[in-house]
Amino acid sequence: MLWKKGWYETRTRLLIVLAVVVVITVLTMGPPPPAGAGSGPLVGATTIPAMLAALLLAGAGVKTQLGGLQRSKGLHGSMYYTLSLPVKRTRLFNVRVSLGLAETAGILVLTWSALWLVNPAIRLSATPFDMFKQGVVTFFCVTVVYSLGVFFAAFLDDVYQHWATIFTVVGTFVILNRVPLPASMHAFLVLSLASPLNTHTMPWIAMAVLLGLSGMLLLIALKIVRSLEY
Amino acid sequence: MTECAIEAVALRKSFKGHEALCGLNLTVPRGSVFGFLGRNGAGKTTTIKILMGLAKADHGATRIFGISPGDDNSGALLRRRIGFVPEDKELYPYMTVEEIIRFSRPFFPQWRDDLERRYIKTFDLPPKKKIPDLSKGMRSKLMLLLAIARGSELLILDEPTDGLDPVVAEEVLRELIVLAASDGTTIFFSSHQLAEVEQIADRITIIDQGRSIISGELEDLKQQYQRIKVVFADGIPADIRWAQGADRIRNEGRMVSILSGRNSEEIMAQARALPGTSVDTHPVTLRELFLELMRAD
Repeated sequence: MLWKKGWYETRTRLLIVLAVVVVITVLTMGPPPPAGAGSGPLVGATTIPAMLAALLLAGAGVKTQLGGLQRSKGLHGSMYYTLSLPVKRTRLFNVRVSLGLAETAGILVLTWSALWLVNPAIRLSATPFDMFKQGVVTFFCVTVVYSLGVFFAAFLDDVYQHWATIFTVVGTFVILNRVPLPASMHAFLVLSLASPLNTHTMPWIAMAVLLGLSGMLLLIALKIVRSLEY
Repeated sequence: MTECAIEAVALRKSFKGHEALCGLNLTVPRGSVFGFLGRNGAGKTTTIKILMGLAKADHGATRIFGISPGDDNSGALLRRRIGFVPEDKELYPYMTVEEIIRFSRPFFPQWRDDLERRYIKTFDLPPKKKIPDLSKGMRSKLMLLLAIARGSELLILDEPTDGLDPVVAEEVLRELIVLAASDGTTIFFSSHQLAEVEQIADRITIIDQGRSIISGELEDLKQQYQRIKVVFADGIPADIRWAQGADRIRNEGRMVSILSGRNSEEIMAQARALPGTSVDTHPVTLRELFLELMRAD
């Protein structure tokens, strides 16, 4: 029933976020390269800002619409009813996070499918398996943004949590651009120049870093939610 | 099996330097209808939040049916046995009445279909109506239905009749009495409405500034406390040592009005011994008792 509740709370904005992310992603991939232009990278560095926007929308957007406990307090005060149910806070949190991640994965599947369908350059150069690999890498990236959103939602009010997520992601992006990191470890480059679509290899190190970061953020958020007073 | 539904010992809770609870003690016997009274900011909602595991006390212990409500695991099990109506009577706005009932039912193995049907009918709740389209009164009734139909052994109600018109409030109170009488459900409720507390509660606690200032069976308290009116023919004497031990003393012209809960007989004897006095005693209502105790010294 908690899953159903979560779905009711997220479905409308999920569709809006999905539409916006698909449009942004498809537009930023650019037109197919002219014949004889050589074999440049499929996913270029110029796409990074737009990919970031898509990431933020997918990650922070799904998080916000998910209706965390903080959010339901601000929106319609139904938080007290939820907390009066015989359900552990840990389970409420797990359902909330799992649903958000499932929705994020859904957005990515549809986005990359749309990309495959509308972009001839990608269709010609990348196999569906390449697209799958890129989807997995992107999911790891979005999961960090999502986890950051969940982390901020655990203790900040609605208005602040979204901005805190955006500023942190943009700040991290700026810092990472000034620190000479190997491409395989650069969290954002795995979406552009170090993308599996270009390198045809999985950036395992970057993925492990992203996974660890997400796990840490979610664990801290869970600890906060468990000890939070309402 | 513990005889107490709720036990709170020496509860303390501060918010940003302000002490909301200062050593509150509370004992709610099973099967009682317990009125929890106090002014705004006295600590009622804070206490209820601690009982529901929504907040943690800085010091002291809380037990509901002998179990601590603050722990995530035991708290969740405990909430199967508790119906709760919070101060904010808000529910999921995207659900209809029947949807929220359908949503809630699976969480409670002891869900009472009979009570669900009965209260839908008694409270005249429209099953197909969306929650935001319900009036405040209807929403309160729905909250009450959701709390009662859980098959709860304990109902914790924070201002259950707040915002209801007198007719609806009366209806809700009547149903609570029926529930307590027929199922032996313990009802713990906070209220500002002294008349309604007097109408249904068999026990009360009045709290002020985070402390319990009076607690016990309502009838006992009403018998124990008396208003003693002493009229002085020649004006009130400056020395009032004869009224020592009184809870509240108020001068009204040539009359001294005394609220006494402990040594009324002694005070009356002392007053009668004074020259030119006439002494009367009156029973006190809960309203009088509350107002007197809340009045600044």
